Amino acid sequence: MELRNAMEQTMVHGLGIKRDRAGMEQGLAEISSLRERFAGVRVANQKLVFNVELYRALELKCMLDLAYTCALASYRREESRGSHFHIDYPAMDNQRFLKHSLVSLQADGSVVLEYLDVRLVDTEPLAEITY
Amino acid sequence: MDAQFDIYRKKPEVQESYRQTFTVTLKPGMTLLEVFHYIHEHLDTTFTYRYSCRGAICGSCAVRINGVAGLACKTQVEELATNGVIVVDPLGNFQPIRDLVVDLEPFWQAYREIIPYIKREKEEHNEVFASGLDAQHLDQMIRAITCIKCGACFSDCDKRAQTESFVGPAAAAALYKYYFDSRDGALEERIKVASNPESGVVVCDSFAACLKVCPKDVRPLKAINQIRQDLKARQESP
Repeated sequence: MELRNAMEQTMVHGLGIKRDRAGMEQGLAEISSLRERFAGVRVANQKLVFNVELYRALELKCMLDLAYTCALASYRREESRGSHFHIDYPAMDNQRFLKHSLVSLQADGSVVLEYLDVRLVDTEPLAEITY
Repeated sequence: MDAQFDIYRKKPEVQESYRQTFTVTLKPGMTLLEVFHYIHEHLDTTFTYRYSCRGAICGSCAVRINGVAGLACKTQVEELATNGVIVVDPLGNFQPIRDLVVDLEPFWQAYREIIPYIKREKEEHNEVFASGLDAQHLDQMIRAITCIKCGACFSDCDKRAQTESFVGPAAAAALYKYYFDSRDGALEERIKVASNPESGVVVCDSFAACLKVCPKDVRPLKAINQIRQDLKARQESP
């Protein structure tokens, strides 16, 4: 429970809609440490019939993986786009980041980030953020 | 403000149930589902309940609140708490599995009985709209479509409590959708389902609990009455 609250706080403060490099670095470190601490999570309730405690623990594990994935992808993106505002990089950067971020989870729990080109069909990318 | 909750408890694999009272300090705007989360997180991690969306669109968290079925996520506790202890039970007309979680199988069985899909001879792949509905039917059709299958009406249906073979209000409202859908080609089969003296909508005795408890205002009894009127008209002028 404590871990879940910590994750919520980290994601809201360090990695919200408006974010900066320092905040994201701190957020990434916090989520990493929460993912390590999850190894110590135990479910006291051992009955298998509709065990809410167990499924919430499993949910938390997946959410931590996802939180880390999102955090990493946004940290590496040195630009602003859509509703993601990077205070240190307020402009959109189509040259470097008109890409899909593709994150895969490795067997050892680490994640690898790759980029895929965007296939544009009958449309041109916006040149700048006008809102 | 502190509120007291008198909650039904049942361990799995054990027949006997018992009751437990929890005291929770309320926050403004707190829903009953948030109270369940609080109990689970701070008072007893074995406390068991179903939930998913938290916003009255999934229909998972229906329970009986002070004896009446409703969605925990759509129930504000502050006002209820001013009238004293809030009593929470699992849905009626179902077997409890563990605490507030019940076995919904009879509900889905009834649903399967009414053939919950469009049947027609030839599959048409073009989008076709249902047509020929008057304003009254259109209103009821829209209501029937919004059913989230939470089981609240089934729980509080007095007729279902008397007659276990009755499909219940939610399935009847679902039957309504296909019965009056111009794209459906199985009307004869649906008439048989509707007029089955054991399970069909003709069994309903208009207790009207479904009108009161439905969190989505689907008005199953009105759907049932529309089907009954149609059945009657067919009998009179075959």
